[in-house]
Amino acid sequence: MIDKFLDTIVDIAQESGIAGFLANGGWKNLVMIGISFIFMYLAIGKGFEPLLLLPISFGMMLTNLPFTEMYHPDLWNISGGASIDFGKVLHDGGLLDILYMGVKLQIYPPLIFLGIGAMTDFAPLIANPKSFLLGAAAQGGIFFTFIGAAILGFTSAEAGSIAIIGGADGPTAIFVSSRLLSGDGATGSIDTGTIALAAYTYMALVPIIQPPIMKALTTKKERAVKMGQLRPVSKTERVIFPIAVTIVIALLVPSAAPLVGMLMLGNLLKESGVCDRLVKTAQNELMNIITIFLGVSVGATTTADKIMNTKFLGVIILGVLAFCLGTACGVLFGKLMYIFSKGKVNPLIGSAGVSAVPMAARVSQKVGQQENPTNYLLMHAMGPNVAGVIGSAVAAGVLLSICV
Amino acid sequence: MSAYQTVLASNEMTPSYVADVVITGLVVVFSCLVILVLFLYFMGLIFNRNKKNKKKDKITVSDSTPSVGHNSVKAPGVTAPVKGGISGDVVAAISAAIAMIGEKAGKKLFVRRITRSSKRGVNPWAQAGKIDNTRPF
Repeated sequence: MIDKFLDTIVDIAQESGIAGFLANGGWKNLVMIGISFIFMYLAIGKGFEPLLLLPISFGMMLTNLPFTEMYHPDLWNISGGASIDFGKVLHDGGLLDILYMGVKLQIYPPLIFLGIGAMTDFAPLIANPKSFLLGAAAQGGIFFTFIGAAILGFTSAEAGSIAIIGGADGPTAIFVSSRLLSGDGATGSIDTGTIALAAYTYMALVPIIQPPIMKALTTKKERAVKMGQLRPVSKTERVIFPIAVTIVIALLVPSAAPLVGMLMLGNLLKESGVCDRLVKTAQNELMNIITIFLGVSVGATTTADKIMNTKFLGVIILGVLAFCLGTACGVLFGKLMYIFSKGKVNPLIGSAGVSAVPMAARVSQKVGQQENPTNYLLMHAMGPNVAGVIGSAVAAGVLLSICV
Repeated sequence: MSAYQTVLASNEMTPSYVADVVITGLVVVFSCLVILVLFLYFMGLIFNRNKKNKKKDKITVSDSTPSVGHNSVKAPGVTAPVKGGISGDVVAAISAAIAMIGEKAGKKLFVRRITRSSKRGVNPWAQAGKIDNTRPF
């Protein structure tokens, strides 16, 4: 009887997570759990993008606890033109596999965009349409990073997924990478989780990454420029805007339609003023639910073998490069506008063209106020900022058309 | 098989393919957004013109309205006297604000004097308005 008892105890010990850590390569899981703690600290202690970084880091911890069976990487690892067997995922998958289907089927990012649209005020952009150009210029970071990724030997699909980090838009990065990395160009060395982790980490670091570049590329005189007041925007213009943008973008770049369409639907609901209940749902409940699902499932994909390799190091380096280049392109285009407008445009608003809303606009405001405390650039920077959201969605559409 | 498909099939990126992606990407993004700039610009023009026309119409209507002369009836209410460039209304508003802040049971507040702290610098009302407008962001 004692033998049977001891055998049972041994069996339980062998099936426990602790045994998993001691097994071959189990130490990597411990390291990953340590990394997840760092991200939790950044989210809770430092307040860096906590709404996403916290679920992501917790998902990371869950997936690296041995034998939890909540996420099965083998169900998603496909290469050589094979496709994901969603029936098998539903049958054999764990909780996080089921939630991850929303990422792989590109459902969550457009729904997040619906919520963003319902929260965004496009009036600064409508009042100053030239802001669109700054939003377009900042997307230069995406395409120039593509060159860097090609040099480092990534495939076209991987390079596109890495480059989109420069858009500084988490949902867009997830949308693009989940589609590109499911196709023929996927080698399995990087995953959507890898891209999302890099994107959100850098988005949280926007206030640290951007100011030195902005200051290096502008003079004191340029930074001190005070911009004139924006014209008031009528309700009719606000209602026409989302409809027109959807039609134009969907006709020119159809692959960007899911993102832009949902963004503009959310905005139309808000601006129409007749769908209060839907707007509140899109802004709060729906957005929050999707954020939890997206964060925790994306975090679950960050298994040790996906993070602890040289390819991830490449993603990290190229990700920061993409952010820097995007900021620099925006500021340089802002300088161009400063010259052509004879000093009426403050080049600092160009950096807000990377879409991290509203963080990038806040950075423009903060750097501007350092030169002139009475300068209010925030509303002017919101124009390029929301233009950047549209611009990055268009850039995503282009990458999806070319790289798939 | 197109050049793109060849690259995608072989998973090797040639310099010409990379250049194509970069140039195509930038051109398409800029073109889309330039179209939107033009659209918004023209929309702004139309709406501004409509606004101006409406304003003009209003002015014309008010001009054409026969004037009642100097005996026209004033709106009810007393206009407070202006002292030192500060109207009585402003004094009343400031007094009310101070009373709100310093209100305590059994105490009465009297405003004896209101002076401008400096004539130059930013208008605090404008500053407050800006802060209020930018608070959501």
